[in-house]
Amino acid sequence: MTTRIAFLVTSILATMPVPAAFADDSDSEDLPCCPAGDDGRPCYVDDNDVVGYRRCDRYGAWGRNLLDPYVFFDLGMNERTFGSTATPPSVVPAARTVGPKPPTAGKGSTSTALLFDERMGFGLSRHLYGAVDFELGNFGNLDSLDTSTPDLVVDGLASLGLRGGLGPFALAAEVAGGVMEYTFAWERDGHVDGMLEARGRLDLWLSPWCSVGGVVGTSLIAQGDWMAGVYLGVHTWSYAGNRQ
Amino acid sequence: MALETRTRAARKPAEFRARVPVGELLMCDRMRAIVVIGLTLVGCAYQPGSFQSPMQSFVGQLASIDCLDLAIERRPDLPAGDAVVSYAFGNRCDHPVIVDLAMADLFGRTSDGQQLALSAYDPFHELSIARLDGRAVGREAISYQSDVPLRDICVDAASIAHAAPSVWLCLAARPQPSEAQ
Repeated sequence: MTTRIAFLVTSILATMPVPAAFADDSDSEDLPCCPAGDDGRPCYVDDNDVVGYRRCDRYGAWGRNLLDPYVFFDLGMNERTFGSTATPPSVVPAARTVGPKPPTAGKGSTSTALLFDERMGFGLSRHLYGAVDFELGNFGNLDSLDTSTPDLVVDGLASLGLRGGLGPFALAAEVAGGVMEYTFAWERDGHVDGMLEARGRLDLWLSPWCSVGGVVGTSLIAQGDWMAGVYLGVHTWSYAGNRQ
Repeated sequence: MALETRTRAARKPAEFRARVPVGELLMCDRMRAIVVIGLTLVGCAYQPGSFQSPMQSFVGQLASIDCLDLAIERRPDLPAGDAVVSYAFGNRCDHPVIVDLAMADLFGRTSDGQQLALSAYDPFHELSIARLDGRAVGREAISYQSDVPLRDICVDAASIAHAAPSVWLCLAARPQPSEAQ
């Protein structure tokens, strides 16, 4: 038995590739540069930081972020209040006859949705930026008997805005447009609505490359719809490139 | 300088893995990544005039030129005789600034007082004018070819930032580590 196990282990070891680190040192010239995280594969590390004597860290790495376009990423949560759009219709789809009953939509009734918001933007000029938002959420309502609130909301928006600095803050105003899909607990098919919003943003700089901010917005096409949210932002240029 | 003098090393992952369990290695890398990202995002804005940063050290002679804090140090010469100067710089301002090590004015001085023009060793033509982001830091080490030993190397720190008037910093030769011991 022991012999068989030893044979199996030996066979497995024999099929494993021989690490290049055991090869001749001259092979290290052809190895790829080591990534930031050690993934265990053979790789090359500069042992000299003088320009012309190093291969992996090229000159000017400290300024490379400015050679790429300005990009920012925001991650946060938004609460959307629907004053009109997402109030459920009073007609039950015939295909679904079990589950929660639809409420009678009353005029002036509102519903809310809590959404995760992932946002990526890029600078178009010093103060002008574009961004895309992806929101998903309201999972908390999936098992709820509350039939007046959407149980799944997903939307995507593109926005165009202007941003400027004000001391430790950055102020921005933008217009965003896109589509939202949502369902109610008692429905099989979702609703798809267009969105057009005006928004204001206030960011507080935690560091030149990191900010925390808040956003409020109101729909320009659905009366009574508005949103508010908070987020954490990461920027590839310090202070979004807004400061002179 | 011949490129053959480069010294390169390959990691030995098999030996490394033998000493450090994979779990610990992953944890170590993850922790390191978290620390680096955290420092970058929150705590690593360069403080004007501090000549300090968790990302790098500022050693040598110090100078502040407009938005640029500079630390310039002469290292021991390379075995082939080339002089090496290291530059560390931090941006005092919130906006990008020019760092031009390619066109920096500098000269070498021999022990008998003769002044020599120096050119940077740049076989891959990397040296160029670049911009340093607001409140960011950076560093470079550049070697300068010389056929004779240089007692001093004098650098116009202002020329690095394209500023005037000139601020000359003269750096004396340092003994090789083996000689210092």
